[in-house]
Amino acid sequence: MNNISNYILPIIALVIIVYGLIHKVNVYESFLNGCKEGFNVIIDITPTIITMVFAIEIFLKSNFMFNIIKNIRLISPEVLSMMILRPVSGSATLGILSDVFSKYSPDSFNGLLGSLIQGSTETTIYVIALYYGSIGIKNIKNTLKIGLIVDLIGILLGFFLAYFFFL
Amino acid sequence: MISLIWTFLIFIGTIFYFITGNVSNINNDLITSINSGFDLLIKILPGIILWSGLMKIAEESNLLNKFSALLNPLLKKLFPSIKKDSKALDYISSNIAANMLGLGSVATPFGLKAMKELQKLNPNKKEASYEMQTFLVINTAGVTIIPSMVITLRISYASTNPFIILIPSIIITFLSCLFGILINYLWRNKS
Repeated sequence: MNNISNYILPIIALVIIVYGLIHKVNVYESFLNGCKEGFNVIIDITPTIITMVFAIEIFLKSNFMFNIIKNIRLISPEVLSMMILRPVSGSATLGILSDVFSKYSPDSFNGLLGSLIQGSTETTIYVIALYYGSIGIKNIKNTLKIGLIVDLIGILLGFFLAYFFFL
Repeated sequence: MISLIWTFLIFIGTIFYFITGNVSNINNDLITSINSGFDLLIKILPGIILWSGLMKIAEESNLLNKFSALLNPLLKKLFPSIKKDSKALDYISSNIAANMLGLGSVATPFGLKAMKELQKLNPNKKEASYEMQTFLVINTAGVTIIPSMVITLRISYASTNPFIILIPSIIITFLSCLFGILINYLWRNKS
């Protein structure tokens, strides 16, 4: 399993580049242009990340969460904060995940659970507000309810999979 | 919403520093908190650059289009009422294809265009149509197959097995997406 998954990224890269070459794309130029766009993405997200991480760090370093959930041993206060903030802000939870990795290592139970939460759930509230807001929908019916139920299912599944697969 | 949460985090944090008598550290932590943001950016930077470069090639060689075309038969089943001449399905499949590869910033513009097309087909412009709900439930459940940012961050923090999350991640994504579509279908007549 370990060995197979190490092949995924290089094979995807190779397939994309070779496919591009066959279809007469100037792959060097394309990659270069992609990098430029990548830099623009980074410039776009930098203020958001800095602003969100700033608040997250103050919140986490104050040990507030730690005092709230003193009695829960398995899940760290950081990962619990991730569960709560995930539907609202992806930058915030990415910032917390970075803290989890440096504090407990990416391969610890908390590191794995955090990875699964970040990787397989979405910023539900943000997406709903943005998508419906853009076309002026006022009555969103059950969308938010279903979105949050599904988030909860995702987090619970993440917990069980992290527990049974990795612990 | 974001504003409130942001204020809440800083407010609770600062008050708790005061309560616990940790005031000597707060000044230092205020400054290093900004650095933490930069550190995180440096750590995810290689992932963003690498994917942007590769995806540009995939885009210009039409590989991305081919990939999203693979989704069309499935999407036609999920959105049976969308007529063939509407561009909505194209945008929906591009949005989902980009999301599958963990490219959120690429996916969003397609998603917004898809909503615009769905709104054209919507009889009541103030109320979400069933198709919009299905599309958003899929989007909020997440369809990520390769969570590229998380994997980049894991590699940056020297994980012994950065890709180990791949299979469980796909299981979660698939099950929660399926469940979301199912609830949405069962609740379609409930307001």
